[in-house]
Amino acid sequence: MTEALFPLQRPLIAGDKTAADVTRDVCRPLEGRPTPLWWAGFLAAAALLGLGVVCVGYEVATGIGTWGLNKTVGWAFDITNFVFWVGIGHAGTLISAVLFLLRQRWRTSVNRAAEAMTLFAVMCAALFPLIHMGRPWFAYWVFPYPNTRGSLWVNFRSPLLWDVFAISTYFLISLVFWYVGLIPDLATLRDRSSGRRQRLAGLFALGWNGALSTWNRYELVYLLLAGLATPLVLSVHSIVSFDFSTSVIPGWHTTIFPPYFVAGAIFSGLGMVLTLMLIARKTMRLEDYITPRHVDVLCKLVLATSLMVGLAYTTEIATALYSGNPYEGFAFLNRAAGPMGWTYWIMVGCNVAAPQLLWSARVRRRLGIVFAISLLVNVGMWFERFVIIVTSLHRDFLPSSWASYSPTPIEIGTLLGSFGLFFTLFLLFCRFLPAIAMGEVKGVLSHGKGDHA
Amino acid sequence: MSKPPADSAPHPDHAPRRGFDVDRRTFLKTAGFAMLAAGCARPPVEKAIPLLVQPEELVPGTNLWYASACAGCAARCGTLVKCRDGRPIKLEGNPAHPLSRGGLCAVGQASLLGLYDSRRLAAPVLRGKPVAWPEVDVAVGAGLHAARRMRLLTDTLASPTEERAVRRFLAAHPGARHVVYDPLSCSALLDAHQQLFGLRVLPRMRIERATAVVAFDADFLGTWISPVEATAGYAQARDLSGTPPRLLWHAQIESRLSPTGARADRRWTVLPGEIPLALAHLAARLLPAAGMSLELSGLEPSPLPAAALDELAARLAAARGSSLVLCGSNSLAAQTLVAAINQALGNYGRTLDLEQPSLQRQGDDRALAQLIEELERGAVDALLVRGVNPVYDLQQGTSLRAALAQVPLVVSFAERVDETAAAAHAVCPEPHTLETWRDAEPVAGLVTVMQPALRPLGSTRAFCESLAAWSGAPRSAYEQVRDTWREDVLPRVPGASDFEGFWTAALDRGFVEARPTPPAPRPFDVSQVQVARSAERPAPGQLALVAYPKISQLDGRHAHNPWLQELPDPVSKATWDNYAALAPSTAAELGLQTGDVVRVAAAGTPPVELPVLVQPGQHPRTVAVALGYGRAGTDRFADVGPRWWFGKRTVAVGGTVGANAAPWLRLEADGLRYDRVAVEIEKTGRSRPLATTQRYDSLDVPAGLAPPGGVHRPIAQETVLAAYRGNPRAGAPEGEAESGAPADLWPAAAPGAHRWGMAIDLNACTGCSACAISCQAENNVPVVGRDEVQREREMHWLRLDRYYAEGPGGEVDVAHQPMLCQHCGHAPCETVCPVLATMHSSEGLNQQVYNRCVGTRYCANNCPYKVRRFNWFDYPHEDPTANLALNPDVTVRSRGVMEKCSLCVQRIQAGKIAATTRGTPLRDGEIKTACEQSCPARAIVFGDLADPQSRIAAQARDPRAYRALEELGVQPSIFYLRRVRNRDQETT
Repeated sequence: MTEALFPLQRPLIAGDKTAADVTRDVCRPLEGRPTPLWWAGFLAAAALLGLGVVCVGYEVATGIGTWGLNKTVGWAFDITNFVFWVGIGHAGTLISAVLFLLRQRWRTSVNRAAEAMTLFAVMCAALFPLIHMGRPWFAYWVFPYPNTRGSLWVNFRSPLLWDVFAISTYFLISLVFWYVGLIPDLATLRDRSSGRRQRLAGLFALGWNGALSTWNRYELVYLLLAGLATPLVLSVHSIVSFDFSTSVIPGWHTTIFPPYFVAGAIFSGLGMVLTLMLIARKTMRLEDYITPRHVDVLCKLVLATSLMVGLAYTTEIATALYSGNPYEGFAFLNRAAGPMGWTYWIMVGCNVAAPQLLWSARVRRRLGIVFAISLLVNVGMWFERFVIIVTSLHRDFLPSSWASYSPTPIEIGTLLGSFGLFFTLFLLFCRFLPAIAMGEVKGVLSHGKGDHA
Repeated sequence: MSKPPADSAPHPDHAPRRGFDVDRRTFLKTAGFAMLAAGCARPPVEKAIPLLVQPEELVPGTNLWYASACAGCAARCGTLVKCRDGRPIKLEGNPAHPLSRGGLCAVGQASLLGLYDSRRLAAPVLRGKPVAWPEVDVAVGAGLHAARRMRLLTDTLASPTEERAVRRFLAAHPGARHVVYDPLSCSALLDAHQQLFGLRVLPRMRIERATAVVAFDADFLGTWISPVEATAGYAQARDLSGTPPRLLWHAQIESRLSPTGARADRRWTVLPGEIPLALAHLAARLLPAAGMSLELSGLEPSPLPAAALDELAARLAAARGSSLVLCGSNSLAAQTLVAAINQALGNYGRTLDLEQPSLQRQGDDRALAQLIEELERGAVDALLVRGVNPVYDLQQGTSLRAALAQVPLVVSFAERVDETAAAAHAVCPEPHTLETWRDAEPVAGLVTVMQPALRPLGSTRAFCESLAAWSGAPRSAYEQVRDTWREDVLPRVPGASDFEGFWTAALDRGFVEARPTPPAPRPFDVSQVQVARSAERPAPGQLALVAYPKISQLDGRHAHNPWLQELPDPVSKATWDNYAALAPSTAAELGLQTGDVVRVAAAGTPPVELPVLVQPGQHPRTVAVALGYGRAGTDRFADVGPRWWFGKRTVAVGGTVGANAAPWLRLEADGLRYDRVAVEIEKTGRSRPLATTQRYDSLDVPAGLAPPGGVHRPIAQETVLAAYRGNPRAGAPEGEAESGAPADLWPAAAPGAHRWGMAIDLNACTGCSACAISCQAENNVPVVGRDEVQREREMHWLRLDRYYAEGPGGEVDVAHQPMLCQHCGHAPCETVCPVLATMHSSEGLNQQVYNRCVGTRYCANNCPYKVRRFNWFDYPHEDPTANLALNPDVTVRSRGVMEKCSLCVQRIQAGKIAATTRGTPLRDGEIKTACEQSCPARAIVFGDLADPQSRIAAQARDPRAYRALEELGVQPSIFYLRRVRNRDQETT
């Protein structure tokens, strides 16, 4: 009956769940004891985080020299990781805000986790501009605050300063958006728990009472926040790309960067969402909420953004060679065929070639393959930033200064540590907060809709 | 207190305490108090007490300058010693001094650091124990008294006072003999003049008078005899901006690529053993025309192509009387032939001065050979060694050490326990040159006083003081120098009578010009010319070995100087090591790459393992190894540079920096030879990456990566004389706009009172790297150690970029370009710094504010010239005493901040303050940056671009002027003047 009437509206949530089922399913991991799988994941993530803490601590105590940078290559893993994590954060805003505005209701199953992912990714990202400084204890100097030094202000012409504003704005908006979305669910938690947990959930639920007027105001705030957050999808990574495009270094100095970076960011973010969703679905038994249909939709988005990224790669080379600028032309030939050419081909292979498999619906249904592709996308997008940063720097204008670069174990440990931080936070989130927006999912349940029709 | 009952638990307070058995509360209380106490502890009170009686002329915080002379090598360039608050902090060339004319080489600049070397001996050593001077004097005096056959072995003294002290000492000790040898010997050159002119002197090269120079294996701009003087003369003879414009023609025939060869207009490579034969062929073309009869038939075929000989002969003949043929080989045949050619060309009296000859080398290798023979025979009762290190720098070093053990008394004057001093009974350390009175006469008639700038840091005693003490007439160095000047120098100076006035004027000026003492040469005796009719060549499968001095190390006497160890070789750009340089074709043939370790074996010497360096421009059948490495005690540098988890030591504990090449020298009948005819190279399969500061050697990008039309980068621009004559702008990249400023988005900066800029004449620059060390000394640039250099993190603010290109005849063309902060008008670094740590001054300087820098390195990334240097770690001095050499006018940077060339802003400020105090405007040239000041070639001009009358403004208008990467629109303030090679046509 339902299917006949609404052939295009296949149920978003499988298993004919009732609202009570949703509450029970989503709250189950929060209320029971953690599974051995969770513990295994958490301990692994915490171990990586520990490694990262040691590496960062050693670097801050000893000097940036503990990294493999040199007189020519002043940034490598640090800013690569930064741009990578900022990019990861993008899918959260896209899914929660843009898709909300576009009335893509399938987003409800994934938006909470994607938003949390955004927050944690931005935290990881924000770490790198901090620790990449030679004197991180003076990091507060990048903020324009009234001071007794004259008063000495920051350099408003510096894209790094723009970064400071862009990232902090993005983090704040994402946090507020995520938190506002959590309020109804926190109220559910409050109502289902007792003791300290109840008091804590109650405090953050802000006295939610589930009244129609409350829901009404909530939806309005949510809509407004979505409207506020949407431009950030474009602005943050555009500004991050200015770090490179406003410079004079061939391979950086490119007007194509803002859209290219935004597309890349969304691409990598979707890759990470897919990775996390597929893990969460399996380990937290959420197969009914994150259905093959969700995966399918995400795969199509990945494919679309992959094509955009591929277009950017092609355009970049064409522009460089067409421009007749010998330095620019060399930078791109060197990128593909120079001593670090292998990184370029990893990037192209992972970001352009691998996602082409997703044209096939059969591949999109094979979750194992999708998972592998999502991992490749993550790898490829990390390498994209590495290629842009390191291969442009290592051979710039003066051949006398051409240098090579290879990371030290400290740098690799710091990268692993950022993954440790990310997964530790994400696993804690899955353990203590509803990973699926119950309130929103209940709105898209198909249970009972047939009766009214 | 009674013992508690056995059945009840003891009260915690009464429980017996064992060892560190502290309860939690007590522990926390104690820990808390300890932390508090540590945090609140006052530092020990240090009182800065002003001097009760202020020394005359000493104003705290102002500089005092003393005129002296450099003792870094035997050239004895005149210096001015800059002292601040009682300690010398910088050496600069004395602009009035006729030899250096204000320049000072890298070694001279760096010799300052030797003063603050805490490993110098602070007291005499007798049989391995530090003792007081009277004790040494008793012991040595007794030994000398008993000695019948005493030998005094020194390097070239070239010092009236020391020579006088030696004469008196020899007179007081019958049976004593003085033997002079130079580790970098010119014995054959001296002997040739002895035979041909009856005078054992070096003719003084007057390159500034020459129009054509042909040098056979003579690195006269780098290390040979008097490089600063030669460089100044060379630059003068190649001054295209002078009136009239001049461009000396220079050809170099050598086995390895020397810094001098890198400057040559034409260059050919020959084996070291072929040089005498090549000279004979050249002589055969030049001597008959001059009517000199010399039997030059029966020569083996020439190692140089006939066309080359024709070109050389034609050029030299055309420049009769203003040409110059030089030869660095220590073969008597080669040197007599060179003298004959110069005689035939009429160069004596013009470009070669025998009236005022050079006294910078006086060593006699035959006397040395005789001494060694005596030592080995046990026929020496006492040996006094000064200024040389025969156990280290002679081939016979090892056997010599055994021979020294047989000598009843060996006395060394070394400043540290070096290889020879280790075999000595007594070490009587000399003070550093900056601590004592001395004098020098490097060129006959040019007498230089070397005055101390501070009291000796240790209990040391000058050579002449020791000799005087042992001659029975102790007298201080000051008194001895004054005696000599009163009795020997004053009578030689025309018009001088009052000694005190004469002495004060000499101290003020640093030198006096006196009548030269050597007698007039006798007429040239052509019959003494020796002709080499054959060449020495290695057998197939073998290579000839060349042991050469390199700019920073010379004969190894400065091996303890970290500035010089880290100074990149001007040609190879390698630091902290010597290596076996091989031609690219040879390396390819042997399957070797830079960094592969090979075993070099020659007959009669133990094999030595060295890393390979592939060196373009080298003769394919040679291997070249630098002298001066493998010095004992250089394992002190094990701790230079940062220590961290993955950091490697500069040198292994107990190891040495590099390996000693001296065992390959040979002491032949006519002199000390620096080559081996045949050595064998064997792969070891191991590798030892070299710490080089430049990894890509060409201005042409790799062939496969070049976009259309983008192969060559016009950064170090050059042209040839023929093109330059037609178009003074020749050499500029094609399509470059001749006029009109490019479109500009930034508002123009408000014009300030000055606009500082610099011009560097690439035609004058020889790449000698004096500027780099001068900058390091002036600006407290740290030494980072081998591992950091290998990680491409050297800190030099001013570097010398070196590029190879294909030259005529398949030879390599070398371009040098000093590269420093270009102080861009629209500096890319300034816009990107988030905290405004790098700013533009109203006078056009790009300033780095260390205090404000948070270390994002964005500025360095965005610098097109890659001249910014980041403090990856803290880089303290390996020897804390070296902190005394720090320039108090320049901040010492901490880790985590960026630094770079400031155009010596401290000197600009000092100059402006001086002008303000004076009440008159700044004069052009009044402010000199450290690099400009030290440049022996006067290639660097600093000044005010806003003043149209200034030298810098004139240079900026020169048709040869260009700015590197000007097309980026960054408006650099550093102008380069294109190099012009004296050639008829472009080679490319």
